Amino acid sequence: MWLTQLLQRNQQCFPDRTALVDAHRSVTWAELHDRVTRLAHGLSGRGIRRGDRVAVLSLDRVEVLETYFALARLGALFVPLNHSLTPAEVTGIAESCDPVALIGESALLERHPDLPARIRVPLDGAEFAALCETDGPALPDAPAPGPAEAPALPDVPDDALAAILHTSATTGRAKGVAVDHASFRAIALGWLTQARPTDDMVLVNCCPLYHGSMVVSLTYMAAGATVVLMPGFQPQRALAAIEDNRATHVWLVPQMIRFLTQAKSLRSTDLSSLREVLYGAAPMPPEVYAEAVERLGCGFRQVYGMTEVGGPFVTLGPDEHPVPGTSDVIPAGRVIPGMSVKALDPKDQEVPPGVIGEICARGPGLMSGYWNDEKATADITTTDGWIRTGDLGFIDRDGRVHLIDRSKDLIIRAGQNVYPREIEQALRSHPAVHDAAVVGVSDADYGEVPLAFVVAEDGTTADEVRAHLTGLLAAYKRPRHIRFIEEVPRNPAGKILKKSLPL
Amino acid sequence: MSTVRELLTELTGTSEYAEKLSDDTDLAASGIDSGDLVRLILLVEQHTGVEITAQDMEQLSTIADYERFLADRSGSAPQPGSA
Repeated sequence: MWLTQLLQRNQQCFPDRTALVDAHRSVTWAELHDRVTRLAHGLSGRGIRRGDRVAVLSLDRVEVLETYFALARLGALFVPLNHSLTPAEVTGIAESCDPVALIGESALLERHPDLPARIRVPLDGAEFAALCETDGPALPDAPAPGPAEAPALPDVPDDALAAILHTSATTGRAKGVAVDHASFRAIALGWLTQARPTDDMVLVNCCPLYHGSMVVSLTYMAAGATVVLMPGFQPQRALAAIEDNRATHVWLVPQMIRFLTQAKSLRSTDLSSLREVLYGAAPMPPEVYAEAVERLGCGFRQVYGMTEVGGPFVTLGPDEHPVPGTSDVIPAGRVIPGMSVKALDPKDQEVPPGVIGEICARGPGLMSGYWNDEKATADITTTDGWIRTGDLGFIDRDGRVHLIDRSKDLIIRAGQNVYPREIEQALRSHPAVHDAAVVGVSDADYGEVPLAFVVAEDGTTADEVRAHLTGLLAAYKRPRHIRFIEEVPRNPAGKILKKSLPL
Repeated sequence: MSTVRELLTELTGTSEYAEKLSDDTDLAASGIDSGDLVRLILLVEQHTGVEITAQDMEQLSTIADYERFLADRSGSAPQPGSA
């Protein structure tokens, strides 16, 4: 019951210290512990039990983490939903997890009236507030007792599942990564041995709490840090949050760093409290790194992780970062204590230091498996329990992981994974499109963006194709560029020859 | 076409999106990628030289909001009905 223990320790050790801040309010550790306990009782009174899945659909705000902790207290699983997905994409996730409840912001819940869940709770409404502050409204058949007279909440073991976090998949239906409490604990404790926590840490979290990067916030919370939540990334707001909260750390992806350095308000923002920029989820372009070092004037920590491995498991600290301009390549860093990493050849044999292979990880942070998908779990796991990251790289003689390429056909757009095959399937569903191929091309703002090659009937326009994709794919997955060609080059087996496309 | 619509066309790579928006459409709810909204604000800063702060952003939701904001900052009053 790591997440519960984390909360209990912090309310005991730092009751009056601020735990969470968002655009609306802040809570201390004592208040957070109290609200989470009440919310757990309230949700229990609504009929939520150990093992139940509860979908959460919201921009980042305090109530989201309160919900995660309350569900963890009950032994129920939180299932964050990416609010930028289309209704069809969200419905696909919900159907695979069969949630008993859906908790989210009213405006987002209204966008998804058909989601299957027997309980709906807007977390920006009076009902949620009542659940946190009293014993909550009772269902006709399940009266909710207040905490004082409530039965004890269940004792949740560390190997109980805590969350299902979704990752993009080639098929278009996201895969659910089931994670237990022990995974969160292993990653947090291992990470914090490297991150040199101090009592005054304030982390501005610019990344959404709906995917694997949320583990970073939970990890810093474990050290008693204050975490500042942003409802969405805007450079001007992120800069203001750093200044207003005297932040010591900020967590973002390289493309966000680029936007930060472009904002005019950077010149007038007081960044003197900032000690470390945590970045990851996409390669750091050398020019962005050089500009950021000069303009932000603090240390940089690389975060290399994967949802299936439990989150961040390799890091490169500020002292090990190269001086800008001296190297075009920044290593990913060293594996955190408690986790193991190695590079394997195509026969799953470990390769020597310096030799390129597929980076694989093992340890107590690993996911329990994909939710209801044993085949996919087996496909990504070696016979002796190592998770294949899909990243090609090598490990040097000092244990530093260097990433070179990807073994998967994947586009990383501003830190979000996009699979070309999913876009190709969506393109081919247009009645005038006969064939399609999608590749990633470099983009100054986003790192990479999808470029679609389309074979279509004469007269078909790019705008028509884009309009067709609007209802099928989230905005970040849609092709930035569309080119019409006569034929998609394929080998005799039908596989697309992407290197033969007219780039 | 207004400055903001031109920038939206540049961002999205198509004029269709910018042309179909009304002046009072909430851009964040219009289906545009959130990253493009970030880029819009940066582009407005670059094209006009006006600094946009976090506080300013509280009032910037629609094309009309942007046009009004830019008119205010440039010292000229917005034209009635202008976007």
